[in-house]
Amino acid sequence: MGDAGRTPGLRTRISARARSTITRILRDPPPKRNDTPLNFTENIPNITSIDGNGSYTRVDGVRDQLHGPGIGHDRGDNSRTTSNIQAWLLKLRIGGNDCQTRSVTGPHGGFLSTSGQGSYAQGRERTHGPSVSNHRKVLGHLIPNGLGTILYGGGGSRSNSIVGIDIMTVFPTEIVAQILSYLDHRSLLSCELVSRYWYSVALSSHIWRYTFEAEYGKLKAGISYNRDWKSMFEVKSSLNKRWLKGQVNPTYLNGHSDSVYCVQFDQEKIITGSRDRTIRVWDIATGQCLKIIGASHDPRPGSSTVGYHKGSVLCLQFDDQILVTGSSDHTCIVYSLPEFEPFLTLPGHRMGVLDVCFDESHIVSCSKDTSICVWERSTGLLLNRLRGHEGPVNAVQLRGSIVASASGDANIKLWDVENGNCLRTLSGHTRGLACIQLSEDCRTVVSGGNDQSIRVWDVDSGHLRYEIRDAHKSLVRSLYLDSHNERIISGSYDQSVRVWDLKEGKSLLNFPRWHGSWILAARADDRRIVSTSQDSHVLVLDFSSGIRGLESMFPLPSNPTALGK
Amino acid sequence: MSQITLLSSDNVEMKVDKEVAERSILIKNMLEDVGETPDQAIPIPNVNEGVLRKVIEWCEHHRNDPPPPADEDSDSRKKSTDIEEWDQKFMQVDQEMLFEIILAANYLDIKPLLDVGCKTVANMIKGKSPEEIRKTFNIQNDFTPEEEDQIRRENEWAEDR
Repeated sequence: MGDAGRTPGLRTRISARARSTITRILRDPPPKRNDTPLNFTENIPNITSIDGNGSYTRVDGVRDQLHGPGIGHDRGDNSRTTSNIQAWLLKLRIGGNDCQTRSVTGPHGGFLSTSGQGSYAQGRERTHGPSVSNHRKVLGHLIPNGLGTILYGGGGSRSNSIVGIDIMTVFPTEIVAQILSYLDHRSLLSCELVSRYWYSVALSSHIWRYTFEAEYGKLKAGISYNRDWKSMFEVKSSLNKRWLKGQVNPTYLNGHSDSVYCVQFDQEKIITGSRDRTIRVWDIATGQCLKIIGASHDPRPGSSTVGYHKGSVLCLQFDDQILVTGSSDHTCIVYSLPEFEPFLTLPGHRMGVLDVCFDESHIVSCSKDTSICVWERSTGLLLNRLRGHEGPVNAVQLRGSIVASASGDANIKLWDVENGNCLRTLSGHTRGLACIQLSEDCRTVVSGGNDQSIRVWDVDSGHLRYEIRDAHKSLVRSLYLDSHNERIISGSYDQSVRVWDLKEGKSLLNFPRWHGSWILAARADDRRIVSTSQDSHVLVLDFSSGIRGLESMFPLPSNPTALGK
Repeated sequence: MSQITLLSSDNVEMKVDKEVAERSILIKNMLEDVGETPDQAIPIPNVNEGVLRKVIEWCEHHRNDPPPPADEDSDSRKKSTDIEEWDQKFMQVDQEMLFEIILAANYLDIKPLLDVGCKTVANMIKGKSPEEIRKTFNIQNDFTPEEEDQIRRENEWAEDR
C-alpha cells in the first residue's frame, strides 16, 4: 500500500536565492553557544532526505543500544514458534526490504512521495523497529534522568510535560513533513528561524506546495509540480498585495491609427484588432509591435488566397494554433499560428461580426444581423445558425457545450452548441447588452450593457445572483471574468476600467481616465490588465513588475517561435 | 464478536475486538495474511502498554468510522487543522505520550490517528514566534544574530506592509 513509486530521500527544491543563504549559513561553523551542536554540514544531505535514522544518528552513542524491547520474548517458552503469526512476524522483521519499509517506517511515507527506505537499510542490521524504540532512546537521551523507560506503563495520566522534545529528533521525515504541511505560511516562516536544522526542513518545496495550494488553490492541470513553491508563494502573495492596492506599472502601446476594438494576451504576446483594419501582435515583455496583419502590411500583396479584412477588426480570439477575427466586413478570418497566415474565411453573416469565440471543434460568431453562427473549426463549414435574438448579438462566449450570448434586445440566451437549441433566456437588464462572460465551470454568467449595471446570474437556476447597480457611469462595454482569481474586470464608455470581486460584486479597484476615450475591451490574468480604447491606444497595467522571483510563478516561454519572430 | 489478544512491547496482554484492532492496517493485513483468527497473542514489539492502551482507546471510539475518501489527492489533505472534540480531548496528553501515539499510529498504520496527531503538533506550532516554538520543543537556537537577520530579510515579503 502506497509503497510503489516511493523514492528514497525527500527531494527538496530550494530556490537559488535560498540555496545561497543556506550555503552561506552552512559554510560558517555553528556558533559556540550551542551546547550540543548538530553536525550541520553532515546533516545537510539528510535534510533533504531526513528519515528516522538520519536524525537519530545525531544522538551519538545511542544506536548500539537500540533493540526494541520484546524482541527476544516470543521465541521463549512458546513451543508453537512455527505458527503462521510467527512466520508472518518473522517475515516482517527479516523479510524483504519492501515489507520492512512498510512496517517500520510506516505506510504513510508516501506522503511526499518519499520514504526513509534507503537510509533505513543502513541502520537495519543494528536496530529493530527504529520508529518507536529509537524514539524511546531519544527521549531517554534527552530527558535529564537518562532513563529509556520513562514512558513504560505511563498512561495519559501524567499531565505535566517534563520538558519539550524536538520533533525533528523524534519523527521520521514524512511525519515531520506532514506536520509542517498543515501550517500557514507565517508559521512556516517562524519555523525557519527556530534553528539551523528547522530552517533547512521548513524550506522544503514540497511542504510549501501544500501551503501554496491551501492559500491560493491548485494550479491548472498540466502545470509541473516540480517547482519552487516557496518562491511561488512569495510571488503570489506580493501580487495579491499589489492587486489589493492597485499598484501598477502602466505601459501604453502605440501603433494603431484608430479605435482598438479587441484584445487578447498570454504570457508572451498581446494581439489587438482595430478600426484601422489591422491586427497587431505585441511583445508583452517589451511592448514592441512584432507584427502587423492586414492588407496594407502584406509584404507579398495578393499572395494569400484568403485575403485580409476590408473593414474594422471588431473581435478576435487565439490559441496555440489559430487566430480567428471578426470584422464589420461581415466575415471571420482564421489564421494559422505562429505564421499568422490567413487560411479560412467564414462568410455567412449579413452584417458585421461583433464577437467570436472557439473551442477544439467549434467556432462561434455573432452578428449585428441578430444571428449566431456555429462553424466547424477544422473546415470552416457552417454547422448551425442560432436564431432567437431580436436585436444585434453583441457578444458570445463558448464553454463546454454552452454558448452564452448577449444582445441589444437586453436578453441573454444560453444555447446548446451541439444541436443549436436555446436552453434558457435570462431577462432583467433594462437596456441593450454589450458584453457577456461565462465562468470556467459554466455555472455563472456575468453581463453588462447600456443600463450601466453588471449582473451576475446562476446558470443552473436562471436566477439573478446579484446586480452591481451603477457599476459605471456609462455603457458597460467590456467584461472579463477571471474565474480562478474570482475577479471581474469591466471597461466602460465612462473611460474607466474597474475590478470587482466575483463573490459579492464588491468594488476592488478603479482606474478612471487612464484612456482618453471610451474603453472598448479589457482583459486580465494573474499579473496584468490590458485595455484598449477608442483613443487608439493599448494600455498594459502590470501588477507584477519588479517582484522578486517572478519566473518561478511565470516561467519564461520555452518556445519563442510562437511569437512569430 | 471475535476477539484477539495483543501483546505490548513490555509483555502485557490486551484483549480487543478484532474489528477494533483492524483499524490498524498493519494488524489487518497480518490477520489477512495469516488467514485465521489467531489463538495466541500478537506481539506489537514497538509499542508499550501505556501507548497501546491509548491507541486501542482511540480505535474503540472510531471503530465505526467510514473509510477515508479514496481520492487521496483532492480533499483528504485539506489544510485545516480542525480536530473533532473527542479527538482533541484524547490528544490532551503530555508531549512524550503524544509523540509516542503518533509514532505508534505510523507504525501500526492507522492513518486517521496519525493525521489527528500531526494536526495536534501542527497546532502547537501555529501562530507561534520562533522563540515560542523553541520553548515548546526545547530547542537550542544555533543561529548567529547575522544569520537570523539574513533569514528575516529573506522573508520580509510576508510582512504586512
